[in-house]
Amino acid sequence: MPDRRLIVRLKAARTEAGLTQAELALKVGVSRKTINTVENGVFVPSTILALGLAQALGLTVEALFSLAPDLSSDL
Amino acid sequence: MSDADEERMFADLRRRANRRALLIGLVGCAVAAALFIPVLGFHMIGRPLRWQSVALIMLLPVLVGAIGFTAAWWVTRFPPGALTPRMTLRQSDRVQRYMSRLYLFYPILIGLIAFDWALLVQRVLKSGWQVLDVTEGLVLTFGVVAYVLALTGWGVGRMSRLIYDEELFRSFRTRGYIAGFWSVMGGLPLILALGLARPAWAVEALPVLIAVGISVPAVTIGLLNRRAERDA
Repeated sequence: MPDRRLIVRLKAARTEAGLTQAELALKVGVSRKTINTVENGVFVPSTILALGLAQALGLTVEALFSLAPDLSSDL
Repeated sequence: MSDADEERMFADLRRRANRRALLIGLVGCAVAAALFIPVLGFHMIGRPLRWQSVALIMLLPVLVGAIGFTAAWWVTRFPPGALTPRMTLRQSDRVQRYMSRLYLFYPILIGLIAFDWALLVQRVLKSGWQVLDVTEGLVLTFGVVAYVLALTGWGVGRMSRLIYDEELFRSFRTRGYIAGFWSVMGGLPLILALGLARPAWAVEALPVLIAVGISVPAVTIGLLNRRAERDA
């Protein structure tokens, strides 16, 4: 079940960088399945993995992940 | 190392792993034979317990196992540095799939041990310890410990650790352990209540609770991994 609190833009960023899930997985040191579940919003990554993904794609964490608008307005 | 080199290395490692599995199976058979043939040969099954006899019976299989498994590992060991973290991660999906399949069989495997254990407890409560009861108890305990180790990954090598500690799989393991904890917590009051009414039944039911406590995390991890694979 995807977590609705998190908006994930990993798939778009990865495609833009021209990487497959397997290649990105090897870059950040996780399995391809992990990348897939993060992209689908099924798995919420740890801070370390989020930073690793951002670094591997040359982006900021905020460019990859953000809070859903209704939730961020509550904070 | 190029992809082609890695593929060649994988093929070599797979050959070694297959050979190791075969040798472990053979050594396992030898250990079982070393355990049970002397027991039957000495006609000790129905005899009262003598600790010297137990030590004698256990010494041979322990020696056969120690020498056999060490030799199996030595003959099929991976060349030092052959398996890199990158290669391990490339295999992580496949290895985790095999592990999950094994975990889904845990209720049957542990259930058999629990059933045998409950019978053993019943027998010991009725007619006291006999030589075969002790050896059987030790074998069952070893089996349970081995399954728990396979579930937790305790004592595995540095590269295998990468597969256990891979982020998604670690989250599955955490959720599995939580489910296991609550299944044991749910069963404990029942066992305690049973113990007040029928202490012997409570003792007989303990192996079942242990089996549940090990099976629930295993099945949870297996199902979570299977669902993630289906979604992938």
